[in-house]
Amino acid sequence: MRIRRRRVCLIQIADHCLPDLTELFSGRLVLDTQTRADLLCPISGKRIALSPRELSVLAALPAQEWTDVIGLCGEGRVTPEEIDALLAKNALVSDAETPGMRNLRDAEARLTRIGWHDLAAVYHAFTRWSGIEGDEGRREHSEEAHRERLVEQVDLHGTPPGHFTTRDDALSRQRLPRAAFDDEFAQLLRARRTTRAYDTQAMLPIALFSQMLYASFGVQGSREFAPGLVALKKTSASGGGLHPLEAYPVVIRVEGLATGLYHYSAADHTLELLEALSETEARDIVSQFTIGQVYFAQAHACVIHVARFDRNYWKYREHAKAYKAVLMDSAHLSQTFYLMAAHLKLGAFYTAAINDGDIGLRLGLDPLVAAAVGLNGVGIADWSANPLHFEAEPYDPHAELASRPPVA
Amino acid sequence: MATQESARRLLQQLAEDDVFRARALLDPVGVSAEFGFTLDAAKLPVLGARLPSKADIVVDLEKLGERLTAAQGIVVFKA
Repeated sequence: MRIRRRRVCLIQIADHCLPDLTELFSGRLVLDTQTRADLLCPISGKRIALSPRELSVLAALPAQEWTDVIGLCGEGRVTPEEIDALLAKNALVSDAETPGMRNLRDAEARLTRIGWHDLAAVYHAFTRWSGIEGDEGRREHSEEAHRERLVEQVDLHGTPPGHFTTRDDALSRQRLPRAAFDDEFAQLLRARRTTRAYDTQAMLPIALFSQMLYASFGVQGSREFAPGLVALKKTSASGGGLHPLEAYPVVIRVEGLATGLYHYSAADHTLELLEALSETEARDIVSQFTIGQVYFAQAHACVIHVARFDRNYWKYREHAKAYKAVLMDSAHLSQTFYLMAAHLKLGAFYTAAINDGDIGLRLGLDPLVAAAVGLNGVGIADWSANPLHFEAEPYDPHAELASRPPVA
Repeated sequence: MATQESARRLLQQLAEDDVFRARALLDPVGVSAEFGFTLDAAKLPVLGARLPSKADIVVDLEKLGERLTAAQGIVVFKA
């Protein structure tokens, strides 16, 4: 048998604070601090604990070529038992034709073929959530409760860094003229807001939902730049013009559409039903997908943003900025979605606090290839007074600046 | 394998869920294993397992908030 190191082999050495379970079940909570080295697996997203001895074995093995186990053990550098232990926890790769090893080798080859940057792959795997449920659905949402939580946060961490920064080293300071900002476009930008209360009895007209999808995710133009390489024009900017974000709508209450989980085919502006659901089931999965932010489940439809990393990395191979650029594509789309909703007098929201691992499983996605990165929602808003809605007072930058002392 | 996140989930359930607490007291080894902990049954109290009160665990969880890596609840800043 031959072995090699994992292709991506990032080790984190950290102090882990864990409860002593013997003490816990004796009625006392005592914490043990253990210093541990973990291999951060970019495939499973799990930590693989390593002893100092195992760490030294890995550090001496190449990843680009195979090493014969008999020869290695014959040199006395490592024992067969140590190799077996490392293989058993996938800290090493072997050429054995077992299903587990084949899967690991295939996944590593896929990661390389797709063009993942090492650090981005590890970050992607270790920020993937499954089964996370926050307390948003259980806690009180009154103005007072919200204020208390913020005060608690301030008690713990002090006040946040201020909204505004000024440069003490500025060479000069020139106040800009404030042009009128009240035309139709300005009003639309100002109307953008996050909505957390929807009319759950109303049906969203299909024409409005269709327009939301077309305006945000639809194709507005195309042009062939090279044989077989066609660039698309969409309403949002995209890193490298690749538009690697796919829309997966969860339809809850839209006239003329069955409730369920869909894929939006931008090529022909068509919805592909993947899973039929009852309204209750659809609201439940939106709540689960958004880690228990139950108010978002009141929306009439949601759109899961799924990033196709393989498409972006085709151009930006092992690129240090590529993962960030893909996430920003989702942000661009979200802003367009928000503005379109404001234009149609609809409520909208976006959240990145999602159980992306669970969404990927539900949609049958390989997380190395594609994964959910955010989720927009849209619906007929319930604008009645709601403490979850932000009602801002007008702000005049010149009036605020006038009250501030000039920079020395 | 036990992780800080699995430890946090175990403690949180022990702080909130009476049914889970009862199950943990009946089968401490099995419940510990569900969260990646290996517990030696021989080291448990002869008179049976005991747990800190829910309130005590909550207090400790709060104290440990800074030390245990966890998916914290979201503080909603409305926008």
